[in-house]
Parts: sequence; structure tokens; C-alpha cells
Amino acid sequence: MSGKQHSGWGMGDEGPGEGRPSGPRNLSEGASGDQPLPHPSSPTPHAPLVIGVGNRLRGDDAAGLLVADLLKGKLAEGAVVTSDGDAADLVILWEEVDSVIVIDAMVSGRVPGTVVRHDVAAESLPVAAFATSSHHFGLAEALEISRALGTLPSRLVVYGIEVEATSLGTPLSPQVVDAVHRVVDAVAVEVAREPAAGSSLASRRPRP
Amino acid sequence: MKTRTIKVDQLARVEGEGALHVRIRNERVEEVQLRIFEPPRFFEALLRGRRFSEAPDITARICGICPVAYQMSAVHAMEQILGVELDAPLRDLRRVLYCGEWIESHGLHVYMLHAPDFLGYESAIHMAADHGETVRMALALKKVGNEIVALFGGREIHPINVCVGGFYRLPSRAEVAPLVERLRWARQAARDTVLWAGSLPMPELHGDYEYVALRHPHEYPMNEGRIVSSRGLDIAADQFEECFEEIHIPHSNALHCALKGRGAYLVGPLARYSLNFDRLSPEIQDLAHQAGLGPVVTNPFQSIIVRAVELLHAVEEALRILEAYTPSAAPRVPVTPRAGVGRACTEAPRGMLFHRYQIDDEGTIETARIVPPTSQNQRTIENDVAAFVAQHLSLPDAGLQWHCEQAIRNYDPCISCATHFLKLTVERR
Repeated sequence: MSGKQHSGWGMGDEGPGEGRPSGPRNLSEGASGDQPLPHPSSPTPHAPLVIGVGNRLRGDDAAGLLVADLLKGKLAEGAVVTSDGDAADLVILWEEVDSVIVIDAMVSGRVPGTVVRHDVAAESLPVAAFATSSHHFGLAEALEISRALGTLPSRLVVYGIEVEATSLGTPLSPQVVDAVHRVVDAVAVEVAREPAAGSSLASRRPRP
Repeated sequence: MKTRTIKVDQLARVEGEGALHVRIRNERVEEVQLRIFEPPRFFEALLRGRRFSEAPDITARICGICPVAYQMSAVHAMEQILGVELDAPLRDLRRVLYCGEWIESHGLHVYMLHAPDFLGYESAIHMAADHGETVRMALALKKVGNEIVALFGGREIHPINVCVGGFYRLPSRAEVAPLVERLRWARQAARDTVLWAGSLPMPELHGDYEYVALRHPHEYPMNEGRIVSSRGLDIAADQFEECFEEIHIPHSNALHCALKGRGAYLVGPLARYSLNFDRLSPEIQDLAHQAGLGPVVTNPFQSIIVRAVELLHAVEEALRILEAYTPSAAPRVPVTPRAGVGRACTEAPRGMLFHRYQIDDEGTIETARIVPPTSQNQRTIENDVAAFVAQHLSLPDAGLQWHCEQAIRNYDPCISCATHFLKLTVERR
């Protein structure tokens, strides 16, 4: 079972503020509208959710999405999703999932095509390597927000693929394409090791 | 002679690369410079020679936060040239898409970028530890905006579904239904946001601004209206260039704007709200009063409450239109190119956004001009920081710097949008 209690977006499912601390500036009471925000139906524990993050318009930044594309044929339906990396998307996407594998491009100064596996449950992601903008809340921020909220999946692995070029409209560089294939194999092995791997995420709410 | 210099070399929680420089001599503010060193973008130049139909997609790439605003000003200007009028349902859906952007942008700014200033946190991540439910709700609200943009814009970032004449594709009723459910949740969340923003500790600062915004006969302005100001300006949107000018300032890669013969002015939520309070619904007006706002707001720090009010308006407007949604038979009206000049203003989340295009009879763009809201506000931001520093000279430098950054974030400046053509002169001997 998932160890995480879903405390509700609209809070209507539990009643206003019930069972949660609520301070003077805590919105949990006021937000008890008549319409709770629909949220993903109950996930099945243990099945890792694979999230490919990136932007197809920006050269090597598409790496995470390509890994997801290639894994979609190999893993169970619904076990692989893609995201533009918006923190609002990620925090909500993984908040009811026990085990998550994220693949994203990174800029850490390593040789392009280098793959680094971070176990984020154990340590924070190096924010600078995954930051994209001062105004955008991305993967690194999403992880830290989830950690602060207590909704970080108990197992969360990030595969970072070092990029060479992320200009608009450029093709993927060959080293990054090689890395994409290596990561596809590594993630497939990692998913296969998990109990009940990939058996179950079809019940997740489809992405718009 | 004693000189203090407050420098913020890299402004955080604003979009783009900017810095602030304040010089105080003998306890007097001598100079304030908002330095914008985001590199020039040359969008106006690269539009030349492209098809008129490409303008909405090209200009949507200017900004990841407000691409819809660029698409809207671009298509309205093109439709003016081509003599195209949209029917009411298509016009409404453009408004829904714009509401999605307002929800995303204001939701992000109110909670994640601006609120930490008021509550004394370094960032939204630090705030999340103590205000978990608030941050969760903020992310869910922003996501509702993302979903509107994804459904009507074709994808979340740099949407591609808007075309001159309408849309490429309209979603089915079944696709819209879950969005309506989420907007019903968002309505209550946005109401709570208004009251929550009203409860924040509010620094005192009152500006004597000339507010400039669009004004529409019936609606709170978004896609269309006349350009009006708090000091009597009242012109058609296509007269923008007769009354406003852009000036290149050495310390900034963004052009400064001024009202000809009058100087600095202000666009954005404070201006829109103060010039259009009577266009909000009675329920929203009442809630604004409960949150401590009058019909005119002159304290720029209260912009966080005004954004919350506009967030609620955008949610209600999108809900009103989508509850009655049936896809039109045709997603767009046919267009035929013809030569001409078109000008349009729409209300981006940060304020009025002007576009002008000249196209030839084949539909090729000959010239383009884009005046984004942040460059219009740049001079007022500097004036505000100067006024705020003058009132708080006794603060230590660290405290003063904190408040200066907060004052800049009142305008939610989008520096990448504002960065503009830079004139380059090469001297050879």
C-alpha cells in the first residue's frame, strides 16, 4: 500500500481541514469547495512510473522524451508518461506513486552523452544542473517542494543525460542519441527488477 | 560625503537576466537603474520575410510564460489587415485560452514568486515546509491554467493551435468536460486566494502613476478595447504609436517607453483593475473589498491581491464560457492575404502588449514592431524603487535590498520579453 495519505486538492473528500494542521494562513479550510479537484485514481503500489521530461523543440533537451517514447513499446500501458517539466505537473503526477524514475537532460559540465543516475530519495538533486530559468519551477524545484510537502515518492531515481546543444530546432547530437539508448536499456532493467513491475498503471487518469 | 551602493547582481524570481543598481549619496537616492542584460532577441527582424500566418507561432516563442498574449496581439493585428471578424463563439474561445494563461501566470506569481517576499521566505521551496497546503493548492491552480492552454492551444508551452481567422482545431465537448470540473474547484480556490492575499502583511508605498490599460464597453479587458489612462487618454488601440514612444537607454537592452510629452506610465494588473473595476462582477468587487482593496489601488505591493482578483475573474470567465461550450461547425473563417498595416493591443498578464505588422499583397511580413509590457513599465519600476529606498534609508543594506527586490517583483517583470533590438555601431579606422 501507498504510505502516503492523499489529503485532497479541494479538500472536499475529507471535509474542511479535518485531520490536518491548519494555521491562520493555511488555505485548507477555506478551499473546501463543493467540487474537489479530480485526482488520479488509486495507484497500485510498487509499479514504477517512468516520466520522460524535456522539450522536443530544443535539440538535446528532447532526450528524456525520446527515452519515454522508446520505453512505451516495452513497458505496460500507462507506466510511461511525458512531461514538459513544469513543477505543478510533476508534483501532482507523482504524489500518489511510491516509485518513480525520471529521465531529463542536464547541464553539469560533463562530457555530452554522460549519464548520471541520482537516487533522489537519498539526496537532493544538484539544482544548477537541472535548472532552466529563474521564473520556471522545474524538476529540481518539484523534488524539493514534494520533499517539503512530504509527498516525495519513497523511491525516486533521476537519470540525467548530459546535453551538448539545446538551441531551438537543432537535431539531437550523436552522443546524446547513444545515451538515450543506454538509458532505455538501464530503465527497462530497473523496472523489471521491481515487484509487480509495470503491471498496473493503466488505471491512472489519462493526461490531457 | 558618504555613498552607499545597493547592488543586486542577479535578480531572482523574475524571468530573464536583470540587475538593479541603486546609488545613495549623503542620504539621498542619487540613481536607480534596472539593468537588463538579457541578450537582444531580434524577433522583429526575423519576422520580416515570413508569411503573415506564421506570426502567431513565431511570436509565441518569445515567452514561455505568456505565449498566448503574443499570439493574440499577432492574430488581431493580422485580422485587422485582412478585414476578418470572428463570430462570437470563436471570440469566446480566444478569451478562454487567454484566461488559461492568466491563471497560469498569476497563479505562479502570486504564490510561488511573490508570496515568499511577504512571508519572509527565501523561496517557495522554503515556504512549502510551513505552508504546505497553500503551495499544493497553488500548484493545482496553476495546473488548471496549464490544462486550458494545452487543450485550446494544442500544447502547454508555446501553443500552436491559434491561427489567423480562428483555431486549427476545436476540442470536443467530451474533452472540455473534465476541465469544467476542475474549473469549478478552481473557482473556490481562487476566492480563497483573494482573501489569503488580503491577509498578507503589506508594506506601505503609494505611487502617483498614470495608469494605462485597455477598456472594453462590457468586459474586463483582455483581447480588445480602447486604450485609456487615469489622466484622460482615450484612443483607439491602433493609435498607440501616435501617443507612445520607445527610447534606448544605455544601461538596458530593453527599450524604455514613455507617453509622449508626459513621461512614465504603468501597465499591468494595478492599471487594469483601477481603470476597469466596474467591469468586474458584483461578487468579485465585493470580495476585493473584503480583501482590503478600493476601486482604485495605488500601493504597488497590493498588486498581489489584484492578481488574485484577476485570477478569480479568469477562472469564472473560463467557466462561464466552457459550461455552455459546443464546438462551432467551423474552427476558423477563411482568410485571403492583402497588403496593409495592422495594429493591435491585448492585455498580457503583465500588461498591455502592442503589435504592428505591415504585409504585402502576397501576405509576406515587411515590418513588425512589438512593444511588451515590461519595457513599458521599466521607468516606473525604477521610480518606485527610488521612492521606496528614499523612505527606508535607515534600513541596513541587506534589508533594503530585500525590499528593493520585492518592489521589482510587484511588476512581475518578464525581462526576456522586454529585451529588444540593440543598436550596434562599428567604428573602423
